[in-house]
Amino acid sequence: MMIEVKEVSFSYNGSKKQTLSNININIEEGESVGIIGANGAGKSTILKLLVGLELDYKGEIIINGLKVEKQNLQEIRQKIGYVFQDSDSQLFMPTVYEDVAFAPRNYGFSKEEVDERTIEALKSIGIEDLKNRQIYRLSGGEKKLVSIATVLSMKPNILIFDEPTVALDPKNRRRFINVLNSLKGMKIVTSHDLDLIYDTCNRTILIANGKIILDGETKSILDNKELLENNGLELPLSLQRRE
Amino acid sequence: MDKIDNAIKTVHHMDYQASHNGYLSRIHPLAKLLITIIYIILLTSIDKYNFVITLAMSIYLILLGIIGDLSIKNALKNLKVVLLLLFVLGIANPILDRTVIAYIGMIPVTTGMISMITLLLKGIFAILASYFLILTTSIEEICYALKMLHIPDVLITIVMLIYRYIIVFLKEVQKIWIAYQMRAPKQKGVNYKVWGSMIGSLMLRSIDRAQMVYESMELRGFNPSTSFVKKEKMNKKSEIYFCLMIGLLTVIRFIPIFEIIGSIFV
Repeated sequence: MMIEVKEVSFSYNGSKKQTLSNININIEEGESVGIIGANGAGKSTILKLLVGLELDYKGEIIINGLKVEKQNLQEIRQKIGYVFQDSDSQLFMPTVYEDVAFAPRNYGFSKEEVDERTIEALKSIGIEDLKNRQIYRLSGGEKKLVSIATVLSMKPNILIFDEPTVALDPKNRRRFINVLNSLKGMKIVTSHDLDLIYDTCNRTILIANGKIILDGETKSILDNKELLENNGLELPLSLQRRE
Repeated sequence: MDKIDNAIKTVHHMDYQASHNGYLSRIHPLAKLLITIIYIILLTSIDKYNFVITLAMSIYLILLGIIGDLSIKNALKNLKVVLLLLFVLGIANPILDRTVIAYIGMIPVTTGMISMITLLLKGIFAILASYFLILTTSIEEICYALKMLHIPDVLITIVMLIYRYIIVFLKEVQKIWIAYQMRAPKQKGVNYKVWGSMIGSLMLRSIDRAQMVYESMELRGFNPSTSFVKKEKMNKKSEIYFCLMIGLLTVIRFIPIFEIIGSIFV
């Protein structure tokens, strides 16, 4: 088991309301999992717990056999690539190359290896030509792809995407989906964009009010109009057209 | 709006230039940092009435401008607010110190005037030297050089994050300003009644964004105690550059070059 979330509950500082309540999730190697739910359901919070951005949780989270706690964070974070919803917050270096090279440099790789990993990450998603571009001159779609490259340079075996298609136009959204499908390893995607989940994930977890409502095959969940509507969502657009 | 936009572009440009400045970007950051520190120490050690030696210290900046293709004119333009502040600080000298030492035609030259000009030049040169350091050395490299000088991690992290957060802050200012202008198109500036709430909102938003940037850095292995450690030693080229620059600074600080040149022609 690569990710084990056992009986996890969590509240943000000072809040009496539980953001997550008794969550249990097991994810195997190579799975693509979509986490869906209305605003405030707790989707992003789950991701934050997985990478240890919030540590004050009850229960147990184990990644690759390591419990998510302070002393294991460095090792865990080398294995997980987290792509933020807002690319502007993720990208903070002056050029694409510098940003993609940031993680390998911080983990102490040699100059040659940093260069090799950076180029490889850029090549893997077809944006090698952006290498020397200044970050602030990139379009929204390019920033999203560079954000993915910034985590790929660490060759993670788990990739996490928080609302990845927000603010992408249809062409860039399609490009992003193709890139996402071409990436190997475990992928976890949270999104309101159910068409994205439909196109990229074979398993879906539906969350509402901090609880797991259903965990199963993507098609069976996203086809269920009543279930989705009861939890503040709608059928994916591609399925609505078919109706 | 244009001002904020220009400020953001300037910071981005400086950031970009720092890692793409050809020759000077390839010099080891410790060499550049030490030269800048020594330059500022030598500059501040000059007597307040020694205008000639102070002026001679500009040779270093001109040379740096030539080697690094850095424009002193543009630098002065970007630093005009700071320069204005320097002028305000020095303006009291001619008023308080009125001993006449010479006349230019009928106009008396006082020691106060000399000390004001010297103070101004010292301020301008020190700021230009620091500015040129930033233009030729990325903030990560400066932090790395500081680490080599055994400056505490906390201070280095603060230096680095302040620099990173300047852009975050400016972008939030820009967003709030646009949102305000869209709903108050006929107003010049921001109405004083909303200053409080706007500043509050700006602070909260900037803190949120800054937190996200920090999280992104943390998730990619940033750790104040280890992240500035780089295993590159100073190369021969940097050593030669360091020695030459220190030699030059020593000569222009302690040998009255301008007086010697002048005496040849008189």
